[in-house]
Amino acid sequence: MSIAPFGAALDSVAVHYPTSWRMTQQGTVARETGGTALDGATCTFPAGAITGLLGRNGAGKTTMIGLLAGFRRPTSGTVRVGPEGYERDPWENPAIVSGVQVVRESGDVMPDEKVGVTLRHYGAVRPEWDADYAERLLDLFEVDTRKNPASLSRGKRSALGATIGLASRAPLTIFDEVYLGMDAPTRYAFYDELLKDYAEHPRTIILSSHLVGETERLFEHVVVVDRGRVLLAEPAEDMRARGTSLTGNATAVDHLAAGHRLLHRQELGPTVMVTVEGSLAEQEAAEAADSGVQVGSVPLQDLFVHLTSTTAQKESER
Amino acid sequence: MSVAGNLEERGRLARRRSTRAAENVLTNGMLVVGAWFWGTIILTSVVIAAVQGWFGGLDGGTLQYTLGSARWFMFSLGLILATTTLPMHLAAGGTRRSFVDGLIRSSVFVGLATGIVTAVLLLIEELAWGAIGWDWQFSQGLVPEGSFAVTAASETLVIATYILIGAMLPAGYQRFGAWGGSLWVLALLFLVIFVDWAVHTGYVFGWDTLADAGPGRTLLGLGGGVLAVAIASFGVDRLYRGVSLRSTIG
Repeated sequence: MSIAPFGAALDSVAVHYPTSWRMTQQGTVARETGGTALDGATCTFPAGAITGLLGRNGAGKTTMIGLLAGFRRPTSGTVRVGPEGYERDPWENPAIVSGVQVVRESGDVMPDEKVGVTLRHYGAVRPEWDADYAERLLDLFEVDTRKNPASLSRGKRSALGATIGLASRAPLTIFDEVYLGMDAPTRYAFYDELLKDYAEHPRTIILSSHLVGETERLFEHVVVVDRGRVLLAEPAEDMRARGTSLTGNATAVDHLAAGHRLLHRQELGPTVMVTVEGSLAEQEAAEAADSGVQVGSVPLQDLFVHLTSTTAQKESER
Repeated sequence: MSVAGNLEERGRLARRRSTRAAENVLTNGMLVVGAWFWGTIILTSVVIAAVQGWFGGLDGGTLQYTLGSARWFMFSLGLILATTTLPMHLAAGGTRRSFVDGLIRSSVFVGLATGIVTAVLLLIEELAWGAIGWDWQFSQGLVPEGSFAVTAASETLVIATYILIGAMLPAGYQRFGAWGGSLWVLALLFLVIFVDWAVHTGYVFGWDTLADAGPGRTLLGLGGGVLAVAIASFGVDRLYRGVSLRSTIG
């Protein structure tokens, strides 16, 4: 029984954590301080696309992912996940959560059992699980299946998480900082495998990442979260068009940048490089060419840094 | 099949798969660790019997005194396994409902396995004592002279209740906070005492032979055990069905 890729939408979602107590895996009780993780977040994750979920530490990404997977309920607002036109609340909905695979940094594995035991459990629960593919991936990432996850290095544990995410073939697969601890060759092998399998088995993928420069080539859609709010949610192309870099003589650059919102400015002697919001008009582009100002696009990573640091600056100025 | 129908069918199958998976992972975990526990108990019992026999014989038996510790061991397993398995179960696409169903089934199954092992071991001990010429007695339980079926049934109900109580403890702290969670522990203690009283075993009630033993008391005791499992199952369901996973604010 095949199912279409899942889309997801959040509408005015707020999540406030009360101070709580939880039992740790060591059997001790730990106190968790409360706070606001999401504050009126509204965005969509289109079905059948790879979406980059970007945000600084504590921005609310993990909480957002937890809502999509039905790990928790929002304090207010609505969360809908499912095939296009059939989106439903994921909370305790077996049809929906069986189609959402989240790979969290914590791994969600049996730490003291052999890797194979965890994989068998995922295979027993997940309708689209591909055991042969999981085996091939573990070979590719050189994960020793005779070991327990607890005795694997951090990078290998991450590779195990990546394997679970890919082999689940879930209609909505979410990787939350899955690359942590992976070395560069493994990370690139993961990205390549992700693209290859995505092409062969179309589904919706959300990739939450700090390494924007490395992963931006994968994104078709981008959601940027900052301090619990959604700064933007749009196609990656639109986001790339949000910024223009101008490099050249200070006077000429400043003149061209005057009508635009300045995102970033960097001086290198007499040369100035600025990043402005939006693209240049035809007349401005001609003017830039005449005055020897180089006009360039801005990598997503830089735009992400500028956008989130501008918000942080505004907050601190309040 | 329409998308809506497809989803409905998917949900039905997913629930069945994830309930079975939760049941298997919890049962296997408890049985594997439980086997080590029983291995240790048997070895200890044999050593104690040998030492006591060397110094002049035993009064009664040795295994009956281990029944109290077996249930607290299963209580700890319930606590640890429920806490560590739930996040993986949800991450694998299961629901809290399927986890609760799997946990309840698993506790009854492990209780039954433990009950049968207990009854078999007691039977072996009785036969061994008789062969050696020692006087074997069993002061615990609903039937003073010992009954395979009643002992197995009693232990099934007690162990299932203790496993579920173990699972309820951390969920209580998460739901009710530090103070409420501590009060919740006291509430759970009442259920512990109730099931021990019902089947007349454990550290509080298992020292003396049941005074009002008889078919009526046996039925009442087993009924009480069933009630304890039902109350614990209801408590687990209420606590776990609303539990949230929270790793960090991020």
